[in-house]
Amino acid sequence: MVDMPPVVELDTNMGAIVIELNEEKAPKTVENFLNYVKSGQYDGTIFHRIIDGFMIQGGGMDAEMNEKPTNAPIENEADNGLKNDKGTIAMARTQDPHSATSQFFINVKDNDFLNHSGKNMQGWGYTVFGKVTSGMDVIEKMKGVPTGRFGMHADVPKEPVVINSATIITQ
Amino acid sequence: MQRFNHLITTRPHQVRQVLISDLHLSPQEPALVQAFLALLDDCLALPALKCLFILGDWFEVWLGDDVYLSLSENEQALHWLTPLISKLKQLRINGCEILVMHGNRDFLLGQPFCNLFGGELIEEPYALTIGQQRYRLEHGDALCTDDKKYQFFRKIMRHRLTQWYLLNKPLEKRLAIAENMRQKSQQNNANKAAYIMDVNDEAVHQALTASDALLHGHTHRPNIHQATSDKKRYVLGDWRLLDENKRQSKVSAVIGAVTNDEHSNDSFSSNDAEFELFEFTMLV
Repeated sequence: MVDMPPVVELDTNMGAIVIELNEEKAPKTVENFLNYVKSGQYDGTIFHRIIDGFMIQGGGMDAEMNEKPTNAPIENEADNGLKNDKGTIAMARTQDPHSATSQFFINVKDNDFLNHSGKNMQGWGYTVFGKVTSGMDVIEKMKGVPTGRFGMHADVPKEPVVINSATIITQ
Repeated sequence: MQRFNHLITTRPHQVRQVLISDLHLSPQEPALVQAFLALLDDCLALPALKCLFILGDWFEVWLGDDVYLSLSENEQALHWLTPLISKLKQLRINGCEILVMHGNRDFLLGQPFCNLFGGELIEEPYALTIGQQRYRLEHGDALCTDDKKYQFFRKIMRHRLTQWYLLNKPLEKRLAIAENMRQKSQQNNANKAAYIMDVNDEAVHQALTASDALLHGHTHRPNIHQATSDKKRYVLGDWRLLDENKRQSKVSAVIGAVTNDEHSNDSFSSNDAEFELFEFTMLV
């Protein structure tokens, strides 16, 4: 019997985005993501970093750019063979390969340079754990919004792009 | 000429774009490679940098992307290009675009290599709006129309079939061909009058018909020229190792930067964006 992959819907102020998660290839990452979804972590967060031609990143800040507290960081699973292609969702992190917590990003282009190339600091890459199955048109709109600086942050949308809620549709 | 170091230490938030060319990097020039890495470090520290342009002759020679891409993980770890790719990748992840144009030395550089750091190959001429002005960016070799021999050679080398032919040859053959070309070029250049080796005025006027300013490299003669009564021609400089035999040598290059008021609209076509040449130096 084949399990259906988990599907999450992000209800945003610019439209709905539906994401199918790849539990098989990124088990720890998907489990981590679903825990945040279930606890309501993503509700009221924004896409705070939007760079056209690159990616849209969110799941960490509220509309006042306050960072929400997170759980412990998770292991990097970028060596799972999945590529940071257009329409995929991946975990954001710091320079430390195993530092991802709640923030994620959706690739708006094939970003080869984010893929795993080796188990070293420069090559670890960013874990891809799912893909957008509906709402790429919403993302196309989002990636073009005017952005600016906000304190020490760059590429912050001038009008907040809000994730009203994140819900699991099927599991 | 203002110093780049002064710019980035006094108004880092205003630096939006950096433009360089003619580095001619190779493993035989470690100081130049270090200087480029130092520039990348400077760029990584700029909070509002949106774009880095590399306008040709980034590398002294480029025999094909496969030279690097076909290496094993271990071989790549030891390769001189790897630290460059790492820093460029980090720059891209920080949100800075990296746009690469071919020069007459590295015209075989491909998108697969650029994908390693999220860079993008751009064609020449490239139109860039800075403030109210439309700048035309190109490497510069196409403007040296007095050098008929070179323009004929260039037409062949830039043709897709020639490139396909070259890239399909084994690496040793490509090395031999490049070496041969370099020798021929040096012999020819020794016999050329100086004026042939610079841009042609008519070509410059032609280039400026649809633009407000021209920016190029290639000639290794950095300067600002009043090309027409109301249009300027900016020339980027080559990267040079100076005072090599003295106690303190340094690398010096004339580069370009676009700045704007940090409180203005962030898009870099804001009205007050300005282009200027700067002297970049690194003590070796």
